[in-house]
Amino acid sequence: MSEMMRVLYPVSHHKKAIFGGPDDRQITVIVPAHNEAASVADTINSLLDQTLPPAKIIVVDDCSTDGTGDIARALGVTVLRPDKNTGSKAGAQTYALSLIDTEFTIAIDADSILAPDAIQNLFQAIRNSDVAAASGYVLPRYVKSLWERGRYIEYLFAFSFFKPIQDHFERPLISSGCFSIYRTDVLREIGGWSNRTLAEDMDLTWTLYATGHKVRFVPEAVCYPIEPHNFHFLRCQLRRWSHGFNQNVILHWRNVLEQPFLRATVAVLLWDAIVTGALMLFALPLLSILVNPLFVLGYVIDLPIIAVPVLVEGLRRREFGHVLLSLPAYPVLRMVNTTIMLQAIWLELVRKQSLRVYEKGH
Amino acid sequence: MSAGLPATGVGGALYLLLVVWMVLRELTGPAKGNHSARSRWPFIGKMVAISLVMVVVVLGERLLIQGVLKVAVEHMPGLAIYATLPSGSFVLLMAAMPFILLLLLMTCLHVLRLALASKSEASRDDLANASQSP
Repeated sequence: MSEMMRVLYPVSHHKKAIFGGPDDRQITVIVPAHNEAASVADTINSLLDQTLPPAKIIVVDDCSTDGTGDIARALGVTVLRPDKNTGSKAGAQTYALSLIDTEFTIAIDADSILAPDAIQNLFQAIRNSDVAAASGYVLPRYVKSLWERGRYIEYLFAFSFFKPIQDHFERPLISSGCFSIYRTDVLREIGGWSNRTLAEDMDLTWTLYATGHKVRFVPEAVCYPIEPHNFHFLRCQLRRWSHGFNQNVILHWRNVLEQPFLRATVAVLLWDAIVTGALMLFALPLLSILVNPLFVLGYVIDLPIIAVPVLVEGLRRREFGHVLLSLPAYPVLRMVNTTIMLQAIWLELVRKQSLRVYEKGH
Repeated sequence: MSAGLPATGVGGALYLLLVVWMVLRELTGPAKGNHSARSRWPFIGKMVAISLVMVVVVLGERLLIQGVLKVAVEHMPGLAIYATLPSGSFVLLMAAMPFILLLLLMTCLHVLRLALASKSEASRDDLANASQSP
């Protein structure tokens, strides 16, 4: 994969010399991994291949049974193995936090690879002492199945339209857990990644806002995770995200209310999840049958709007055809998103039945 | 994630308003003593252009649907009962609806915030009075 990365992103190695100064070697990367033998080597190789290499890479082998730790060790990185499974990504990451002696900490999923200049670009943002965390642009590594194509469009839309606007107002909704950089002292101050919700990255981001810190989004820092390729894994991931979002709303709502921009984005997300969700699942089918079949257009009527920033981004990335082919998958994915989100709202906010089991999304 | 269904979803409306706000903020920033960073304008320009194209696409989509229905009815007159288009004022109301809903939602949140603030102030006063009483 390392060779493939060099072909895909031919970044000249002279950049390493630029960062040979005092900025270099201030970063430790934590890679939480539970049974990631198939992908952890790619992740480590992409970290080793960075134009700004980290001082240390720590793989937290969270009691894997597939030799994840051995693969990581063979690549020369530090491997930690807790006595028993920590139960979540947050647990594995926090387990390694006490061993970090660098000013900055990066967390990256063991199924993700980075563009060679990703850390360098992310680092530029966190050099500002006000900034406690920064995250990058996320795109699926593989775009083949229906679900991966839907996710590809969803990410292109979110990371090229929603997120830059949120960043302009200094309130990105979330510093993505799959690839983010943090100030280590701030992380320690707030107790690391908490497993009190299933969306530890959102919890951390909102906690940072509540304690007066800044979070940035850096579109130039690109990360490529493996997204769920089938419905089973997609459902697990979406359940975790949807329940996690609602758990964070319950946990942070008072602080969120005090922050005008965050308040607006969270409220709108909840509104659209409930109202649009109810319309899609109940009102549109009924209206289509009882009143006018044309109501069925409601399922795709906003697709051209979504297509605008997505196609612009596709052009910029020279993936226009790919984007165009993937667009029809988006409404399908959205229906699944909507269904699972409504279910999560019902269970978490109405029935008070909190999901606590961390289900892996791939 | 949703751009917001026309007339119901408020997500799209919020982000379109934020783009307008971005422009206003940059334009009025220097007058308030904040120097508008030139580096921000290319990004703002891009967002404004994308937002304008989105609005044009919505209008174009309406025209397209109208055209397709017209052709369909010409060829299959039986479809006419389904192809009645809403009046212009109804369409205008539907276009304004997300913004109205957004305004209502934001107002409700603001009222909730004020109510909570006054409630916590009242409980603080109660606590202070209780500690002062012998």
